Amino acid sequence: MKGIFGKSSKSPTEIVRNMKEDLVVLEKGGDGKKQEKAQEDLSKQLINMKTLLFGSDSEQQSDIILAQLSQEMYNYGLLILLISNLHRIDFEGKKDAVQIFNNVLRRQIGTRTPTVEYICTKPEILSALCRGYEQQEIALNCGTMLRECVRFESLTKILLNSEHFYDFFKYVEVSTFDIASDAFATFKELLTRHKMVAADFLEANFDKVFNNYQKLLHSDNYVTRRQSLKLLGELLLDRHNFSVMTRYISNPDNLKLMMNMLKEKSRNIQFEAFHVFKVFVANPNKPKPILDILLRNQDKLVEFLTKFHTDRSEDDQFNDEKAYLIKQIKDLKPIAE
Amino acid sequence: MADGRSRPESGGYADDDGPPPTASFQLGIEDSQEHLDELQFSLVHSQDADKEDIAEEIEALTCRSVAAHGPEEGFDSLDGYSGRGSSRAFRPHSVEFEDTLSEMMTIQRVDSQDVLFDSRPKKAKIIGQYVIGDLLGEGSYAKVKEAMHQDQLIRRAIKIMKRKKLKRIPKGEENVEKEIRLLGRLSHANVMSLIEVLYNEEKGKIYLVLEYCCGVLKDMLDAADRHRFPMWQAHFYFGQLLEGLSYLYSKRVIHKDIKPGNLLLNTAHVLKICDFGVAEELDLFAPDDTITTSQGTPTFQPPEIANGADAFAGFKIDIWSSGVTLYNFVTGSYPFEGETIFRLFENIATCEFEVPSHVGPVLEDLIRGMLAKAPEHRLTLVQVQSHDWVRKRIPPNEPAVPVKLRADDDLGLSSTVLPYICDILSREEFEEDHQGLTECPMLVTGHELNQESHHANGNGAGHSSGTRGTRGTRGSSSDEKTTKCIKVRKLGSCLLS
Repeated sequence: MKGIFGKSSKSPTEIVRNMKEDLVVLEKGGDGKKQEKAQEDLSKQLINMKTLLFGSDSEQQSDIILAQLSQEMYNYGLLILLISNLHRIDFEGKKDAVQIFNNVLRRQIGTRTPTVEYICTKPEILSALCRGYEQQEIALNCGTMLRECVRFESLTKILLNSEHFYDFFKYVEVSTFDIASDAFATFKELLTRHKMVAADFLEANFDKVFNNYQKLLHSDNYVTRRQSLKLLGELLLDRHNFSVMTRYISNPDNLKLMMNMLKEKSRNIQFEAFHVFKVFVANPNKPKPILDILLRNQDKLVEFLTKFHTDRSEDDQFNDEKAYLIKQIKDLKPIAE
Repeated sequence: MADGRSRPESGGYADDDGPPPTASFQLGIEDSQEHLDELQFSLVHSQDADKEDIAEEIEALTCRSVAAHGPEEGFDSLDGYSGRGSSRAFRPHSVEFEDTLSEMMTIQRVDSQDVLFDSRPKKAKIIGQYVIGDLLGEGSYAKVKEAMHQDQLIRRAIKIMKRKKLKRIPKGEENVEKEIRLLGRLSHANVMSLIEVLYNEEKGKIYLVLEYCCGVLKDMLDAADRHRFPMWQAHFYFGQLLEGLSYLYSKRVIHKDIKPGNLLLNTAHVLKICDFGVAEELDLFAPDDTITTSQGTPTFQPPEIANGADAFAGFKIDIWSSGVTLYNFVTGSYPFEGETIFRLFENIATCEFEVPSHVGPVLEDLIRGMLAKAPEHRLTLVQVQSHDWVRKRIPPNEPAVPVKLRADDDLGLSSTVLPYICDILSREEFEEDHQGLTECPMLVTGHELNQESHHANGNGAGHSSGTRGTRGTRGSSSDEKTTKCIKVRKLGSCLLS
């Protein structure tokens, strides 16, 4: 095998061992010269490894080498070292590390994905990735790796059921916009990528999740408020989350919140709120507290909805739904005692 | 020169062998003889021809061929010549001017400069913001044509339906309205997206502007060796089908007509589930997926429908038909067949079928799981997605069955809209009312054609690389003339010379 510079490259074992040594030096800190040398060597090794993974001449050989490479990575515990020292690696090196991680993660033998299985036994790798959102210089790199992890059901399950999931409610509101959006993208993937897993999770942790979610809906940050409201609508209207929806729409506090959001200043938020509000009204089995609120505001709601976003004349679906809601609210009658 | 051929204008995914007749946008062929082959022409004998009559004749011819589309027009090129080019050009004269018949039959030497060609400019049609191109395919109640957005320059497919025709089909209009409503709510990589809907109430037409796709899985299978996909390719498409179905399920949509004919591919090989004409959307609060109607394709219907059950689980229908589709992908045949629909339903109802051994045990297990007779024993979508065959990686060790492209379109990238755009640009005055402008057919001599392409080359206009080379340009150069100068009036001398 030839490396990219024409000289023969080292064996997978050597590359992994060298990388590990460099990372240990970096982790220890201290002597400046030594650090610098380790930095430099590490960048080189990352390139070597990338060449092994991405640019090989013959399939057969690369399969064996890949197996060897990933096996050595597990043996030396390289992944966790790489992630926990990611902030110490130079800019290009970080990107290489992300590519290597994602490639190794995707490796598949028949129906098995060895790296995924490996990470399942080492949840600290996932924790380290999540905590990456707290460090500005590696947040986006970690986000990319996390979303790659979320592609796999087993890893999503671990992430959802870890305490780290609740940190996302914090991360999506950080002041750096690109990090917050990246975190929100990961958050959304976690809740929508594997529908059944997410539905089970939401059902089992309903109160905890939605108590936290409420905070997003009340956020001072317009983007957070709007994004989270949109995601909420998507989640509730997804058939997989049927029981989550029925539970959500039987809570009068949620209805009040949506009615308040209908009156928000931002038209976009009003519009998103409409799509959640409609579910409360369309519910054929409205619990009494919900019905009471709607009845108390019957006339006001009809008047409000009649004037609501009248300029959306081109959106047939919206107008149909609006007409339907108005009719439903007009027809509301108290339950006979 | 006299052996030029005419070609029918009809096109489509399946039956179009010849490149559409275009005067200046044929790509890459240098031969000027070839050039002329693609032009509809009529040979005119200058002395005998009644000028007006000829003009009329050609106009009728042009209109006819523009109006005519579809498989019934699918002459091969030779037939097209003898059946249309010659008879339409000569017969009326021989009937109406009997006295000149003998003269017409004698062979006369005609200078090639006097041969009058009808270059049949593509009559540009604009619907909404879209320039309409050639026919892509045709169904029982709709035509699909290629289209391009005037400003965005994005290729689209435009599905054209006539209300009159829809009325003749049971639930026709209702189904279209349902499709429009459904597609409007859906947005997923593996589901055909509806860009916009346009109506022309005067003509009673509905236009659905859809994503452009370049291939249908069914057509690919039909053209493939043994009518099947290599395992890895079937796996690749099936995985995307599952992604799409999973999305539809999350939106409470039952497609009810999954089959290779309803699975399209775009140029990036992304599978698109299309045709939601018989799909059903469950109520938001429906406790389960019980439905009572199905209008799908018989070969793909499950036993519960073949047996005439009153109500059945909706999503399990899509699982079944996806199972039949998968079976078709890997074997090239169907698990159940029958000469009549009754026979077919009888076979489906017994639910006995063979799986060829080359399929292998893992995939056979999946197929049998999806084609379980009792819906409650049939795999769910989640079970299918976590099945070993779906999860495993299949290396592409056989060549792929290619997307079937039009003959003149190697990469699936050339657009049939271009000649129409050419038409728009070649007009002297372009007005919104294109109807009135296209009334006069363009008559061109071979000589002028060469000049035309010469100018197209000279003008560049972004397409110059694709424009045919100019060979054999005779006569005086007339570089000051631009392409849009070619029109009937100028050719009067030609007719009478």
